[in-house]
Amino acid sequence: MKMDISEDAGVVKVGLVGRLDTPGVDAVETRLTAALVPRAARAIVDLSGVEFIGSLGLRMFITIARALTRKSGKMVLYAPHGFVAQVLETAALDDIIPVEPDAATALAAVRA
Amino acid sequence: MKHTTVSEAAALREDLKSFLVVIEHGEAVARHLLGLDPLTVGRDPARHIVILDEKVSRLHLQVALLGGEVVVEDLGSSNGTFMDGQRLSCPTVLPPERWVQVGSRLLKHERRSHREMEREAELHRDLEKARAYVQSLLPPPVRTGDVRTDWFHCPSAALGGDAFSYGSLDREHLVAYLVDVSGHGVEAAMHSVSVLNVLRQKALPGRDFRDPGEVLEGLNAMFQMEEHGGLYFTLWYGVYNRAQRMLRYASAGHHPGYLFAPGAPPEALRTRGLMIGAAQGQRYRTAEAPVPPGSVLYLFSDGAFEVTTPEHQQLDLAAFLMLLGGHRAGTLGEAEHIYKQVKERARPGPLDDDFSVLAVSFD
Repeated sequence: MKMDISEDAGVVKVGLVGRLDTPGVDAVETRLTAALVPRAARAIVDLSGVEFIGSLGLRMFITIARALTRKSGKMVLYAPHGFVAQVLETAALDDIIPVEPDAATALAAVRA
Repeated sequence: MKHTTVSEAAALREDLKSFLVVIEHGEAVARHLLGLDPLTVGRDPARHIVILDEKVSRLHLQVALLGGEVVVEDLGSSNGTFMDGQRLSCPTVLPPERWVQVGSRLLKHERRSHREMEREAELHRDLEKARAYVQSLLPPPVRTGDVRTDWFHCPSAALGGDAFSYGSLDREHLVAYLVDVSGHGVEAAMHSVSVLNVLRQKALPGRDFRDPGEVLEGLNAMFQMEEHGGLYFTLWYGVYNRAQRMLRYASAGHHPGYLFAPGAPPEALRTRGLMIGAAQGQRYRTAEAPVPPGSVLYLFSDGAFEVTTPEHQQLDLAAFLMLLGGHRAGTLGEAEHIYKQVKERARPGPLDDDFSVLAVSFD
């Protein structure tokens, strides 16, 4: 599981590539949480490179999103496809975390 | 804090033993103690370690403990033994925590103390107890009457959080549900047991168990993930009214249940709702569907179809529905047959997640 984190004009941009299964989540969860939660970040997360997401991957996003909400931060996911898009829809994840089709709409949503 | 003394540390070092661990799809499936006699590895059943893989020769390699070091020797196999991507051409020392590749398996050298082995065995025993406890709570199949059930449940090696049940709410109403807790291990299994017990005991004060949406809201209020070890769960919950032949249902983060009626395409039964425990104050809608005579309702966990094939492709829901479509009317052992068909399509070894299929057949 690969993860890139950068910042642009006050928005943290996260790119994930690989499988968000148990080893994948183990590889990124601590770093991602540390990069976003303490600073109450406004963040967009690119899922276009993610080919699988399991229940622990969903749990990671929910936990971070809840922590950010308490601190007035915000996280927006974008560009899920195939299996990942199907899992997010089944889980109705966008009831609590915005899921956008691309980077531009994600940026607009995180700044709203 | 207890510090390990120099003599204790020396004793621990002396206690360390070498093990050869067989790793399949990232999971340790067997652990062999290395002793005075070398261990042979191959496809032939006469070997100490048998690997059923066409890329493994009948007698492929041997592993010996020589002067305290683990030495691997390829015995002229057709497809080779590899360490760090290099094919072994002579006996080679395998240091602790390193591995060689043989076909699709890894053979890893682990050094463990007696105490560590005992601790691991204890954890394994706990897992087995939890597995047995979950199994004991699943209801027996119903083979007679106007509504019959059949199911198959196979926990994964790491034990997931699947559980399900069914039964009468009153003379007119029957209930069936399937729970899938996030994550694996004893923690997930025990959480699924908690949820199952609340539903079995109807322990949601003020909630009408004949109203699926109301039940989901009650569970969501009771099982917020921050108060339950960060665990959430998905759920499909349905209530069948015998007199009206009507099924009322609601789901939370779960894929649909599927109703197969004679002569009709399968009907996906799902209401859109967030997983239980993920956020407070969620509302869950109840929907309903008529149940024609001869219908079969299938509930299943995602472990039934999120299966990796030998070609490392994902078996998906559509492929799984094709399998279900090949079965009819809750015949005896049907759910187990579906499991066998999924296993035939999956890569060798245990499935990644719990496998649960519940079939409810209606006269």
